Amino acid sequence: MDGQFIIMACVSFCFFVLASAILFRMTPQDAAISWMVRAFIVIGIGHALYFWSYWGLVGLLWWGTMYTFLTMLFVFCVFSVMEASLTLRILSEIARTGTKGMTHKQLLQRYNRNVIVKRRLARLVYSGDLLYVNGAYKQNKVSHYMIREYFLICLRWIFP
Amino acid sequence: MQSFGFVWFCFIISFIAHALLHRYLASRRGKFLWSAAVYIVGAAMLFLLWQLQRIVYPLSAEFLYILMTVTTVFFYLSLFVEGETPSSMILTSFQKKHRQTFVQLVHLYTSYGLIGKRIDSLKEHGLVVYRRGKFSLTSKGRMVFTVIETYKKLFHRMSIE
Repeated sequence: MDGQFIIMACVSFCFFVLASAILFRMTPQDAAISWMVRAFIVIGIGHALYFWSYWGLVGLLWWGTMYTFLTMLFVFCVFSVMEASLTLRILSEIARTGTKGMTHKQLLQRYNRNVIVKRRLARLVYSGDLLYVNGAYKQNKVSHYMIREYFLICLRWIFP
Repeated sequence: MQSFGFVWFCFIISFIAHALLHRYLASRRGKFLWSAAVYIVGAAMLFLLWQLQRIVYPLSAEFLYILMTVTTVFFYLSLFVEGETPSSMILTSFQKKHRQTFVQLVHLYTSYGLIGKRIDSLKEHGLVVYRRGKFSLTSKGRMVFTVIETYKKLFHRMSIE
């Protein structure tokens, strides 16, 4: 049983990654997070129903916690970093020039604060965290990103 | 169920020890990032509980503990390594001002804060070099770029920023 929890948590996680890779090909770029949440829930419920008769509640608790943490690691350590890291985007811009290299001015022409803010605002409006009304932005009452922000504020308080 | 509780117990004890050690090292201007090493103590506690036959599922317990530790250490390091992200700055700015235009939001940043600091970090980590007025990638930087490109192909991500 012991090894089974680990193996099946890894299997469920692989299903999640595979489902995400397929869903990303079929859905708009900005909708990635909401589709990942759906994939996580559907795979989780599907597998939980299947394992219920074999393991009972205690087994599901082990498997479910491992599956959740594996998914969190993927979302925060791989997906978020790859999607939103400015450092990696700058590295990619420099890489595209090959051996010729890139001056600071060229880099700023391609990638500057206007581009960065515009891209992020579009994403926040698409996710419903911000509203665009009469030429200005305002925060929506329900903000998913803010949950992460509150969590980080707590961490900053614990680790000043 | 008891084994599951032990994992959380060891993790919470290690987390509290981590916070205390971090505060102590930070107040003495020491290398506070090393405080994360304290999670090894939690793993050792779990191992001891296993040896005392108090844990029914030892492999699962250690694996879960490692997952919890890696997740926590990642969040901890992200506080100090990457700094505040642009999205985070945009959202927190709405706590002070409820309605903002695009121009106002752009002025939350400076070019150095957004781009310059990151270039410095890339140079510092040996991913980018600055020669004859131009930036180019080092072999280490090219390896990282290959990983990014592979991710983009696998997950069909067109614009990563």
